[in-house]
Amino acid sequence: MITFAVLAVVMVVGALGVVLLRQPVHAALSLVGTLLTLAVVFVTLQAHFLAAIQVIVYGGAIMVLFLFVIMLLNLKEEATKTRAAYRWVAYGVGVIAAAAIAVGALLDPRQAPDALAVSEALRGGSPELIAEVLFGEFMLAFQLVGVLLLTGMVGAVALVQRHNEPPRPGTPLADASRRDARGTR
Amino acid sequence: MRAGPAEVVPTEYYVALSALVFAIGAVGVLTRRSAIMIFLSVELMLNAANLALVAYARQWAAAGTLVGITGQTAVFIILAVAAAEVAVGLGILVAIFRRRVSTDVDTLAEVRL
Amino acid sequence: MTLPADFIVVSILGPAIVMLVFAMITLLFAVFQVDRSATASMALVGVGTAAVFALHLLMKGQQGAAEAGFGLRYLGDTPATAFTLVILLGTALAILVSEADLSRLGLDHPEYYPLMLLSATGAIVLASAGDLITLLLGLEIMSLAVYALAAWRQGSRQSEEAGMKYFLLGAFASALLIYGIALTFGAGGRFDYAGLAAAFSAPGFDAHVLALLGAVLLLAGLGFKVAFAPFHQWLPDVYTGAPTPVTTFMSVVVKTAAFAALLRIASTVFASLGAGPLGELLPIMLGILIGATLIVGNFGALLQSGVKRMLAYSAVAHAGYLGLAVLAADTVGTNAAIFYLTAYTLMTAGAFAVLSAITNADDRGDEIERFAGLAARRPFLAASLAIVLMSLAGLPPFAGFVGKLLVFQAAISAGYVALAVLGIATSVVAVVYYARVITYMYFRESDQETIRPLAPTLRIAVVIAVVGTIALGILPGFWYGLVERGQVLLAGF
Repeated sequence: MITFAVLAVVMVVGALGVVLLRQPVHAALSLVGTLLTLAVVFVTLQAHFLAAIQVIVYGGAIMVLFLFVIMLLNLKEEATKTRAAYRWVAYGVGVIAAAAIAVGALLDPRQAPDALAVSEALRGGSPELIAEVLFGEFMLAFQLVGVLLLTGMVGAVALVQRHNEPPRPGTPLADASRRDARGTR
Repeated sequence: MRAGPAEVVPTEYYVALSALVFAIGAVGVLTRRSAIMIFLSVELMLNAANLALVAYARQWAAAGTLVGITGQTAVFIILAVAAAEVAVGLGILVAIFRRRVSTDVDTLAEVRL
Repeated sequence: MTLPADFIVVSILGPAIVMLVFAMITLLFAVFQVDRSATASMALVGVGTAAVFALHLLMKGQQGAAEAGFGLRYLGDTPATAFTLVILLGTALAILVSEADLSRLGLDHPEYYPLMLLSATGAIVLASAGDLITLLLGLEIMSLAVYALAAWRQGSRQSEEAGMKYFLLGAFASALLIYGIALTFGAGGRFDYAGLAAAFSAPGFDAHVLALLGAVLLLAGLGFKVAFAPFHQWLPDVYTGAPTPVTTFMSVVVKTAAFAALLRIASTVFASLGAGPLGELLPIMLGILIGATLIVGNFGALLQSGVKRMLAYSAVAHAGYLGLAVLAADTVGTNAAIFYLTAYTLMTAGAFAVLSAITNADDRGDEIERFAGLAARRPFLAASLAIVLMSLAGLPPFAGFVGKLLVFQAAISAGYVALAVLGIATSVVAVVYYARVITYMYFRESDQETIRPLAPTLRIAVVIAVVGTIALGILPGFWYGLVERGQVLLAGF
């Protein structure tokens, strides 16, 4: 229970850091912290393989991509803030959502699982068990993940790897779009 | 009620934690202005969902079947979904920003919702 | 763990696999720099082949031999195959519009058609999904490709902003959906609709609040995709900002697939919650969303001066009418929705096809003044647009009228009379904004502006749309009868 409390506090602080810190780099690093904490939480939930994947894929690959883009584009802190009234509405939505889900979970009448039965069934969430489901019951989903990754790849390459010269400021199309953007705003 | 030396943290606590993180992420999406910050908040929400799934996977594993592993496998798939989403999302971001002369970055940092 | 012998059923995957294979072929064309119109022809061949497979499955459903595979995770029954056919029709029309527009709009990049086919593959998976994981993957395959397509015109702030906005809100919606999946799993311990419905209606089931929360989040996530009212804000900007061929694709294919998934969930998972103690809450919420959608869509369209933006709001309004079928959540509602979406695909694609012939090369110039005197200058375009707009407004004898009739019938027979009346009342408002465009075309002076000649593929698309709209309006029984005689596999459907 103490472990859980510590992990929960670290995780919530990290999450708050993501949404409150002004510098994108700081927010991303804060998210890395949250993700690593989540990996530890996975361990306490008997999902050891997922914990490893969480660190490698999420904490590693995905967040490195984020940081890479933030630094590549040299993104800086936001210039403006949202209107105060709107912000309070958003806070309200957040509080209601959290409260509703938490109350919903707490109203769940089921008993806490028995530790022995859980470790018996999950066996620490070992790769063999996950593979059995992934290549058995989730066979179709597994194939679809392949299609999904292909789509993501083609989409990303198509967006970034354009061979023709982009319209520079001063060319007619760029000027037209700028003028129109001003007109519609 | 909870017998044995190994104390089990109830599933509800984990779900309540995930709900909190999810809500923080949702507030981030609603209040932040720049695309990258909204995107980071969405990642927070996805991870909250994964936490809830793993917690419920443990809950269902106690029922004595492989349903628990099904839940964990779903998390595995959602990780792949998140990765593909990040690839395309950051692709769009890079495509937008690299064409801008430096002064334009400020205005485009606020792709508004 | 051993799987049952009939776990893998490849035949039901036919249309999706064909689309995937042709996506690969067009991708190879891109690598070897085959010219664009050959790629487009190959894409059309793919759509046609997939349609043959889908028709075969539809015929199986007629004979009561519909199949499902992967433990009811992928369905080949009549609703799934009928939606697949509608998706393929929408894809074909979008390809025809694209072929006419791409070179003109400076959007000619080799990955365009592969992405469109991949997106259609995802849409087919989404429409045939029988469990939440398959649904999520289909949705993501479809959406990721469309995000990239929406941002296709680089250097145009509107298109880039459309892509970014669509992506961020789509990712947000996916997050809601995934959290909904997590909570639903927590309540039911399953991912497949059949298992969930059985678990939720089992006598000892006690996690009602959790299941309801999960259902609400699922509804919100899908509500973003189909653009129900509080979640519709992205739509006008994205539809206007994206290149017109992409808008065509988004407005027909994405909407059809998302509604197919929503209908399936509504009639299985949501319906099984209806018997529980909190069962009335979900239909009430859905009803409020639909009422708001009808009002916001129709009155929003009334206020627009640009025709593309007007069509965007009208897409919101039509989501409201389709929502009535979702609310009915039974076979009658599903069949009504299939017919409505067929009609909607034809008329919306037709409207966007004509629009793409009239607007500037960079998609601008969709002001209503641009349509003044069109009847004198381009009688074919004007007459076509008039027909599809009258159909969109729901005037007889066109397909839109029959579609609305079926949807209202489904809603009334399910007991939602007030919403049906609201639907009929807002239809009257709809007539006003569609008629305004027709008035401009026929009763205003021409401003002497010449339009470039109509590309042949665009002419084909317009002809298909107009002929389809009229044929479905006059002989609705042909298609509706096929759908009605079909077979449904999941209980409650």
